[in-house]
Amino acid sequence: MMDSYDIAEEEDYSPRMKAAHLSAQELLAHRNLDRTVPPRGGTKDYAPDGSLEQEEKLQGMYSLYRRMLAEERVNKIGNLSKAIWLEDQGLAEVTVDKGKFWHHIGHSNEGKKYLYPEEAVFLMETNAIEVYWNKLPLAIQQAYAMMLGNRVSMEQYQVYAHLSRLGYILIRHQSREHFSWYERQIQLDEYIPLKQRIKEGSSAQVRDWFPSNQHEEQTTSTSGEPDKTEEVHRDNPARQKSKEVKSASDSPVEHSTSNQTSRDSLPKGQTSRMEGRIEQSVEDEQMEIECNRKDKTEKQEEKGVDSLVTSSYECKWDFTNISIPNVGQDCDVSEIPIPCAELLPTGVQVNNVLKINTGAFSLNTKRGRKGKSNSEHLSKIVPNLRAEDDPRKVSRNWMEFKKLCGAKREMDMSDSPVAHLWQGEVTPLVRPSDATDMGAILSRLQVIQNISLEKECCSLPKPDRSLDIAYDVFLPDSHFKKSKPGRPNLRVCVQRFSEPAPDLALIVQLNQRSSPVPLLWAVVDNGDISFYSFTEADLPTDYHM
Amino acid sequence: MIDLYLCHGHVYVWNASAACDLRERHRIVGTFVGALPRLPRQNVRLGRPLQLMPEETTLLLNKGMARLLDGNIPPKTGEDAAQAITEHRQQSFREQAEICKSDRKRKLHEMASVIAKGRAAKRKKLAQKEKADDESSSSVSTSDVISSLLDQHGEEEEPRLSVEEMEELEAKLEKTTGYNEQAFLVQIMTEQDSEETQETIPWNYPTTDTEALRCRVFQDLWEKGYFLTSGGKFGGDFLVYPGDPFRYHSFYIAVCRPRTENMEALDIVRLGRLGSNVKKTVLLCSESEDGEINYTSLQWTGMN
Repeated sequence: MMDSYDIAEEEDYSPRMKAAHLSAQELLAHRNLDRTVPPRGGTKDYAPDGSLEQEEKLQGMYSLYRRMLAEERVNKIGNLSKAIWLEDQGLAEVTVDKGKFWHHIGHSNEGKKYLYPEEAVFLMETNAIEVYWNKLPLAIQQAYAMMLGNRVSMEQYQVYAHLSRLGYILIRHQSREHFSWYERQIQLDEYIPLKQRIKEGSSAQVRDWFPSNQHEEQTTSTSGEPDKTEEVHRDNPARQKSKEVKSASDSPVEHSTSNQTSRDSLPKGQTSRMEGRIEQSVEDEQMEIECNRKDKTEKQEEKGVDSLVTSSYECKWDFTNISIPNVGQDCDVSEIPIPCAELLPTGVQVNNVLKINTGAFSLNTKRGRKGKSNSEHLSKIVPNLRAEDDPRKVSRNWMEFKKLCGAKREMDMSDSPVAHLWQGEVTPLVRPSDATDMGAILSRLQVIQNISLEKECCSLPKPDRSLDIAYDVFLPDSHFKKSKPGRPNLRVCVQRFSEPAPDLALIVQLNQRSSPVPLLWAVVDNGDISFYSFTEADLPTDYHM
Repeated sequence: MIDLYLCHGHVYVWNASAACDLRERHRIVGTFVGALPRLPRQNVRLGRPLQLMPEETTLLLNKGMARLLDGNIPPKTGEDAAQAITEHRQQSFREQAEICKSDRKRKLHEMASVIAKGRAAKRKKLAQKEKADDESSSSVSTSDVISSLLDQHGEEEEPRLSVEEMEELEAKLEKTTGYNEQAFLVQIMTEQDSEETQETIPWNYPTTDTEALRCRVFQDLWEKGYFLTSGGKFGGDFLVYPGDPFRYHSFYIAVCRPRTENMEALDIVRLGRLGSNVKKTVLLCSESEDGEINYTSLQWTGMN
């Protein structure tokens, strides 16, 4: 063995100007290759001084390189995968799959495994696959010519190979434009397969994202009767409790015992009617309860004990064994002032002052009564939400209402001793109502506002050229799944050094597409790759008291 | 003559010895862009192909040191070529099997003494076991002691395999013909092998004035004995090395500017700053009317 190795090594020194088909001996010699990579030549000298020492060092480097560069890729047949280059499709079809690369490289379609050109060439370069074309195994030189260039630019391949060699997992950029900005922010896009989303076509159907909602609507509209039983059952505890208030004392122990009695009165096995409802999620039920309780409570009072008998008990929780603490009983009750009528849509009437128990839960005995009073308010509200009919500036939802309230408070300076300051043309920047904290005042005084280009890119002109993100990059991770890659750690787009620098609009556009994943710009200068990124920086708001 | 291949607008050198010659003899450095076969998953040292800058290509072609070939010619196809490849592989497999066999034979001879020792030890063990069986029936006699002493004496002598034993082992080796097909080695070619002579193709660079100036400057500095690499990372056109970049740092950042172009003072400050920050001198390179390249060096000096 040693002999043949030596021979091969000697031969490597001899110039070989033709393509090297290794002899059997040389092939075997490649098993014993030195797998180390020489370090970066040590400290460099200032300038050549013609000394022998320098010359020796240089020649040492040269001979090392000659040997290292002449080495060929040799592997056992058993370790090599095989693929066929399909020129018309621009893909390589994997016919023999060996090794581990399939975990993170390649895709399958209709039961066949395919590689993109850059993936196939990279695997060839890492000595993992043989690619055939017309029954001929391709050399890497041929692979460069045939597979790269048209579909994948050389620069793109170089960036792909550069990052892949470092161990990153790269997949072609999967466009996120089928997902809304909001969906991306809450990472919904990771859980919905892209294919499914494209099939669905429009992403406007937000309803689809809450299937339970739809389900609930159907049941409420079509089946009235099961709902009633549900309500009956749900309202019972409340009613029971309100009864207890009158009779029993307030201690929690007493509470649970009385619950016990109420439970005992329920007949067993009355679930047959409820079977259809069991599928519905718990959340659904609760939502429904919230909606329905309002106006049904009164009816239940009349129905009395009879309804108890007909109602079924399908709750999994056995409340007889759970002692529920009395968390709300002795809490303060705060009053919410009547909302400003002029900001409410027409048709909304608020009669009473709302009383809210500020305890975290309202599990106390007053719940039934309070529920009733709340529902009295709500049941009468038939808001006219068509704002265009209303000449006044009114709110249609809570967010708008709060905004309008804030605006109103600001305008209302009448009770202020400095009201006269707002009477002229020039008014102070800060209002007394702003004096909530230092930051609020400072933000008022900021004449030139920061804008986030990412959110307000519509103000920018169209980019002068179109460019798309090339790859999604994932950190090396053994748990990576091609089918569900999740959110990439980075995204990369590729630029040539000779191309003009991207304009602001393009940078913002791509950053926005990539958001919230950082976007890197790989700039390729004749084989040298450097990475740049453009990020928005927030100026620190620094204030001292 | 060195073969350069033009492939999708880039120029590559695929032959290892040609790539080394370019550097050692012609001071053309280029950039390696392929994975290194011995350790493909790292970026410290890369391997073939060597990618050349357009200026390097122009220089090599102008000086007649290389020729440019079309790198996009598809490989020969057809049954013959496929047949040739298969035959070549089969031949290689037979040779590999042969080499492996002779390799093992040699090893057998090397290990002969070890095998002999092992066999002797085994024989002795067996003998002792038999003896032990005997001893269980009869008491220890003086003859046993003597024989064991003799045994110890015998061990000092190197046990050897007899000629017959050796032949028997070799015959056993010969019989093993079935090598696992999957264990044979194959090569993924780096360079394509083209027997037929290829026509050279024209090289269309430079096309603009800026490119022409870059080529002229590149050639002039190269003729002065410098090594040059791309200067993009340092904000110039070229980096100029006094010797091989393996061993020396670059002296200059060459910035090509047309002679007639006005430069603002701010540009000069910018370039001066750039050079001084990386301890290099900025060279402003331009071409005079009579075709000579003029160099202006910028150095940052302070005044106390």
